[in-house]
Amino acid sequence: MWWKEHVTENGTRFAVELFPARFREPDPKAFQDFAKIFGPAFRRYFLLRGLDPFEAEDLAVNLVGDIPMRVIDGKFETRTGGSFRAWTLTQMRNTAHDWWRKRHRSPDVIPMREDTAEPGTGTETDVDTEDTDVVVAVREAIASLPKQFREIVELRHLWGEQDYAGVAATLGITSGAARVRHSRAMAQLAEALSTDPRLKRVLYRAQLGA
Amino acid sequence: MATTEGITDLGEYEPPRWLQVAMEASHVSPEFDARCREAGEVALDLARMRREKGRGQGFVDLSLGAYVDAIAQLASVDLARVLRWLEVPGLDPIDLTTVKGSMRLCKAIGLSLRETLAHVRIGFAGSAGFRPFNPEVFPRGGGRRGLDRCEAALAEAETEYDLEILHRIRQLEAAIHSAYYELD
Repeated sequence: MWWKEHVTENGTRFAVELFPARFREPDPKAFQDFAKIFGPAFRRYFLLRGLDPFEAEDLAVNLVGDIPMRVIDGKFETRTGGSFRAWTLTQMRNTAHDWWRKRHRSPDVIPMREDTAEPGTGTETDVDTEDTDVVVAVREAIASLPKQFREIVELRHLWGEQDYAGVAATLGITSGAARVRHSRAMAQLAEALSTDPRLKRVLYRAQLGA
Repeated sequence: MATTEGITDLGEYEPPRWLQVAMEASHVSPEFDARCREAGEVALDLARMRREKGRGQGFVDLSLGAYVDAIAQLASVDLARVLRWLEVPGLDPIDLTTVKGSMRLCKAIGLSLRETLAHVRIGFAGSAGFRPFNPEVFPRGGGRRGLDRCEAALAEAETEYDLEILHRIRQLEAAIHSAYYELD
């Protein structure tokens, strides 16, 4: 599987770096994976920047469609020649910045959160995208799970907290089987994420809280 | 419920707190998930259309709507879904209020601004009842200089248009220019 072959040689190169080549093929699964991994990450970022949920989701969905096309249009290589993750997060910040500028001109100004720098000014820190990276890491790890584990994690956690009976009914298995499968899936997910540097801060905070 | 090392007294694995926190950040509604999936599918459709467009040689003398429809058919893409997602009601003629969505489509499938404008003008020529293209002078497919010849034929035909139609064409051209470059 592509993500297994390419995850972290030196701790910095992630499977997401393969998206540009996969978009250009075009590999249908790349578009699905990108939507699954980055859609929630974009949404999270826009929400944290103070956008209301409707606007955050609209912007996130637009970016999910636009970024692959920008890559195919040659914008990724010409502008950075580097990390796809970094480039994508820049596109995301710029989108937030454009949104903010448009609102700023209108009489109904919705201020951006004051505890973060104005997006697009180049003064952002990693903290701005820390949550986004966490979502990307989690989504990427879920995408790398075997199908039966992936399904149950998505049903139980990502699309609202479904109980085991509901999950079991959706998957056509017994409630007990759903429990066991979920338990194994979560153990595998924890193992995959526990060494992911993108979750360093989350792990650190958990240690402090423990 | 949890006992030691993440195993509950029922023998189940208890996810550590940090994982629960990370998972919570990833929550989305099924509706949002479906919208993202559709956006990804439309992007794939556009990528397929772009590849199909790239296979062609030279300029094809069709209106924008007819040309895009042909490309979609060759790429086995559901054009209606793509247009719906871009909120574009139709391409013949392009509506001034939805010109941005139309240009997103044109750019995405690899149409240059010049090609786009020529296709739009062909649409006007057709709806105005003009047939500026003599098949002997302008063989289908256009060849390497097809776009040059097409523009010359259109310029000639447009000398006979009503001023009102010409005004509409120029107005649309200005909007197309603006939207096309805004996308850069």
